[in-house]
Amino acid sequence: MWLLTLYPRAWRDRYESEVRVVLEEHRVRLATLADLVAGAVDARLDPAYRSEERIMSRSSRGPYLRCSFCGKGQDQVQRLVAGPGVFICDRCVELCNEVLADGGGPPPGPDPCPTPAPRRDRLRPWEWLRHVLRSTAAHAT
Amino acid sequence: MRRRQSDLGRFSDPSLLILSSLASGPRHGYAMILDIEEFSGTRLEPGTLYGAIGRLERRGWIAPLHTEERRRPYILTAAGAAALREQLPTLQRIATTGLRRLGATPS
Repeated sequence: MWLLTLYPRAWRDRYESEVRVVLEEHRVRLATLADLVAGAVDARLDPAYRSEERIMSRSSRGPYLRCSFCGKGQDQVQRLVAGPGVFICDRCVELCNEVLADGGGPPPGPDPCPTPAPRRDRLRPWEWLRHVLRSTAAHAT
Repeated sequence: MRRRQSDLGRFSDPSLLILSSLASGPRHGYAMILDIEEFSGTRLEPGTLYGAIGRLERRGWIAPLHTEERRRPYILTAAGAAALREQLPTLQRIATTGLRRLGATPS
């Protein structure tokens, strides 16, 4: 159940394995998914689970790298290839290869330019929640 | 709104349901969901359930036991039993009053 990745690390360390077992037996409906999202928001706002996130702050691990084409962050893609001051992810490389193989036109099917994922650290909590709910709705249908 | 020590905010109802469920013995999460649905007709979803479990555990009103077959049962602590014993009579008075007044009203 990928929604559990929305919960803070401290919560997941404590509860994730047993919640997974509950979800295996429980009849999962859309209400279940929405309830998990609400639970994740609640856990994120709960000071009891917050200290772990601060310890693992971004600055202590170096700059956060992004694909210069689609904007996805280094932990959202499989590989990032570096150029002079730019980066490209594996998915954008695939799409570029499709474009070139077709002789330059956009490949058929879904939009070739992936919508950049919103930067979580730049969003206010309700904006991030709206993005999560949209993704949840897409997965639930 | 005056904040009482026992105030668990929006988790007060699930908390009372969980405490009542554990009052007859330890249960793991899914067993609580089934038991609560049976005695109260309330269907608790896992997100709400574990939100309340987290709070109850931090308050010391329930305690986790050893995990068996990936399931972790919880037990009602003495403090939890005392809190439940303190809060349920109020709920009972509300229910009794409401029902009596409905019965007394000419239909």
